Amino acid sequence: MNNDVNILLVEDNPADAELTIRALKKYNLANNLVWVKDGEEALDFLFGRGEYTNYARSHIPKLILLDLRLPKLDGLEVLKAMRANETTRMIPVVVMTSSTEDSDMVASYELGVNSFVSKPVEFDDFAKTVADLGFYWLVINKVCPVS
Amino acid sequence: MNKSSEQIELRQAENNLRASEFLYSNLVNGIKDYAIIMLDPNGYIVSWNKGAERIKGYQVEEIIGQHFSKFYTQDNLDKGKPDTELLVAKTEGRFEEESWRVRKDGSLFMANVVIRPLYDEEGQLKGYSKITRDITERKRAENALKASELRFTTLVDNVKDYAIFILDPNGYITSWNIGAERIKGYEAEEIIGRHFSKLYTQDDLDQGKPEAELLIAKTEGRFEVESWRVRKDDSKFIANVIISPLYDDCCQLNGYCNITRDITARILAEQQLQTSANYARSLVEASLDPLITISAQGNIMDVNKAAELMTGVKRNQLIGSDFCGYFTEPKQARVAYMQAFSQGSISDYALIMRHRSGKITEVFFNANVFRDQYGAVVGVLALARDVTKTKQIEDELRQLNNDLENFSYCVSHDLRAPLRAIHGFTTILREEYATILDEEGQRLFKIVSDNAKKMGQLIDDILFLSRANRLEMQLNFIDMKMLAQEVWNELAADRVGRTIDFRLMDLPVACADTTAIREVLQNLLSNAIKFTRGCDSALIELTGYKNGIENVYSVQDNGVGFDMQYSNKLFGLFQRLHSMTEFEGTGVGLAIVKRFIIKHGGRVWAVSKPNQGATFCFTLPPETNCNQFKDFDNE
Repeated sequence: MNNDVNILLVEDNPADAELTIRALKKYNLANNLVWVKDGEEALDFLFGRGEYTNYARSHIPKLILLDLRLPKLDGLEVLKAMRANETTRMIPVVVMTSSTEDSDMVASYELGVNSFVSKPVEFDDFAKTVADLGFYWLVINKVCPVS
Repeated sequence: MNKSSEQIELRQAENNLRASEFLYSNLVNGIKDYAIIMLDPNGYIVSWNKGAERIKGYQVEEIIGQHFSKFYTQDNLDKGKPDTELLVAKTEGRFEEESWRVRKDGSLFMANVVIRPLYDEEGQLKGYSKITRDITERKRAENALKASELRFTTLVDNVKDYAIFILDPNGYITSWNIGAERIKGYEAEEIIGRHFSKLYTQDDLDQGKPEAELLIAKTEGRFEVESWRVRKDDSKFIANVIISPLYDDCCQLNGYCNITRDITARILAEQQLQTSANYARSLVEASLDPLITISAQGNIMDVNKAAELMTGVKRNQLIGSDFCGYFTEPKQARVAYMQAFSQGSISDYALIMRHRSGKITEVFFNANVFRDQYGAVVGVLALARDVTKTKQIEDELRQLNNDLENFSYCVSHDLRAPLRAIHGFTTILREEYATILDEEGQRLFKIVSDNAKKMGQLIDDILFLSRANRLEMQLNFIDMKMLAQEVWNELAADRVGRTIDFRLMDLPVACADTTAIREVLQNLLSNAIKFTRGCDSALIELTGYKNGIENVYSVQDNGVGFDMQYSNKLFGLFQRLHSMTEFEGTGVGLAIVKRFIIKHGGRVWAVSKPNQGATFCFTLPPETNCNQFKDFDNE
C-alpha cells in the first residue's frame, strides 16, 4: 500500500475534523490522512521542521483541506507561506470554512487557492461535500508533475 | 429913554430884523432836500428855494408868479385838488398828503406835501407855505419791503411739510401755518393764543420741558431736539423741533419761532433698519461656527465671536489681517477662498485652523460670495464648521463597523461549527445506532437535528441582514417589471404544485441598487406565495405608479393577511405574526426589506385584514435621482 500522505487536514475544531474524517472514511478516502490542529503545525509538516523534522513520510500531500480560522497562524497565512515555497507551491489547496464572507473568498483566491468551500451545517450536505471533494481531488484530478 | 435913543433902538431892531430875515431867507433858499415854496392867498408862487429848483426842475425866474397847480397831475387837477388843499390848509391850519406830483420835464415823483397858511400880525391871510419832499425812493423801498414781507408770509403760510409757528416771549402761540395745521391737527383759529405746551407729552410737561427749551433757545440762540409731540387727537409723533428766539430792532426778545417736522416715518424706518441690522448681527454672533467675511484681496473684513475663540485673536486684530494666516496650510486656505470668488461658492472644504496657542481645529469651510445692491461681488462670507467631533464620531463609527464585521465573522464561523457538530453527530448516532434506538429515540434525535438546522438558518439570515446594512449601494436604472419577472421565475421551486394568478403590471423605472431591490422583491413575492398557500384561487398582483415625488410599488395578495393591530411589528427583526406550524420563517425577510428600502431613502408599509389578503407597499426616489448622480459623477 502506498505510504504517501494523500490528505493534510488543517482543522482546529476536533468535531469538524472528526466529521470530515468520517465522511472521507465512508468512501475510503481517509487512509493516508494527517490531521494538524493549527497553522504553525501545518507549515512544520509541509516544511519538515519542528516535530516533523525527522518525519519518515513525504511532506507533499495530494490535497490540503485548510480551515481559515486557526490558532497561531491563520489559514490565509499558511496559504501564503506555502505558495511562496518552491516545493509546496503546487499542492492543491481547498479552503473549507464556515465563513461565507466575500473578503475571505477574495483573499483566498488571490493567494491561489484551488477551491473554496463553505461547510454546510446539515451533516448530509456536509458529508456529501467532503466526499465529493476527496473523490475529485484524489481520484479524478491529476496532480501537477513538477512538485 | 429919549426919542433919539428910541430911534436908534428902533433902527437897530429893524437892522436886526433885516439881518435875521436875510439869514432866514438864505437858510430856506439853501435847503436842497425840501422844496420850500411860498404861495399868495390865491395859490401863485412868490418864493422858490434851491430845494424846489432841484426837486421840481424849475428855475426861480421862470416859476415865480405861476400858479402852483402846475405841479399837479391831470387827474388831481380834474378833481380840483389844488384849491381843495389850500382850503383845507386854511380851515384846518395844515394839509398833508403823499401824492404824485409833476416835474418840469413832465416826470412824476412821489411827494410828501405839507401846506400851511401864513398870517400877518393882524391875522390877515397872507399866503401859504408849501414844503414838498421827494419820497419816491423811500416809497419804493417801503413797497419793496411790504412785498417781500407779503411774499415771506405767504411762503410760511403755505409750507406744508413744516409746522412753522411763532410764540410770544411767554410761549403763547401767535401764528400758525398750514404745515402746523396738517402736522398737529389744530386749526389756526383754535390754537392761536394757546400756550405751546399743549403740544408736549405729559412726561415732558412733568419734566418742565417747554419752559426749559425756550430758556435754552433764548440763552444759546437756538434749541433743537428730536422728541415725541402730541397731536390734537392725542396721537403721538416723533418731531424734529427747532426753536429760535426772535428779537425786535431794539434787541428786545419778541418771541420765538418754532419749526417742527414730523420725522416719525424716518425714525421708524431708521429703527427698523437698526433692528434688522441688530437682528442680523445677533444671528451672526449666535453662530457657534466661526463666520468670516473676506475681501477679494484675502483680508478679513468681519468676524463673529466664534472666530475670535477659534483663532484666539481679538476682533479688531483679525479685521484687516490676512485670512490665510490662521490656517496650518495658508496656501490651501488661499485656494479655498479664491475658488469661492471664482465659482461663487465652495462647500465642505477641509482646512485646519490654528489657534494663537497652537491648538488646531479641523474645519469644513462653506463659503458664498456676497454682492452689493448693484450685483457686484463685495467679498466672501465663509463659515467654518468644527468637524473635530464629527471626525471623532466617524472614527468611532468606523471602529464600531469593524467590530461588527468581526462579530459577524465570528458568528458565521464559530456559531456554525458547534451546530454542525450537533447536527452531524446526531445524524451519525441515528444511523449507526439505528438498531438500538426505538422509535421515540429516533424522534427525539430528529428534533435535535431539526432545531440545529433551524438555528443554522437563523444565523444565515442574521448574517445576511448585517451584510444588507453594510451594502455599498450602486444606483442604476432598473427595469422593475423585468426584474420582478426574473425574481418570480427564480421562485419556481416555492410554487411547485401551486396554481397562482400572477399579474405583473407596468412598473415605473427605478433608480436603485439592483442587488438590494432584487432581495426586496424576492422577499415580498415569496411571502405572497407563502401566505396564499391554501387559497383556492391564489392571486398576486404587482403594481406601481409615479406621483412626482416618489415611485410607489405594491405587492398585493389574497392570502391569509394579518391583523392591522400588529402592523407595527411586521417589519421588526424576528417578529412573526404566524406560528411556525402554520407558516415557516425566521422573521428576517421583512426586516431586510425595510433596511434596503430605508437605505434608498424610501418608505415601507402594509395594509391588510385577516383572511382578506395583504398589500405591501414600498417607495423609491424617482429615477431623476439617477440623472443627478450621473451629472454629479461627470463634474
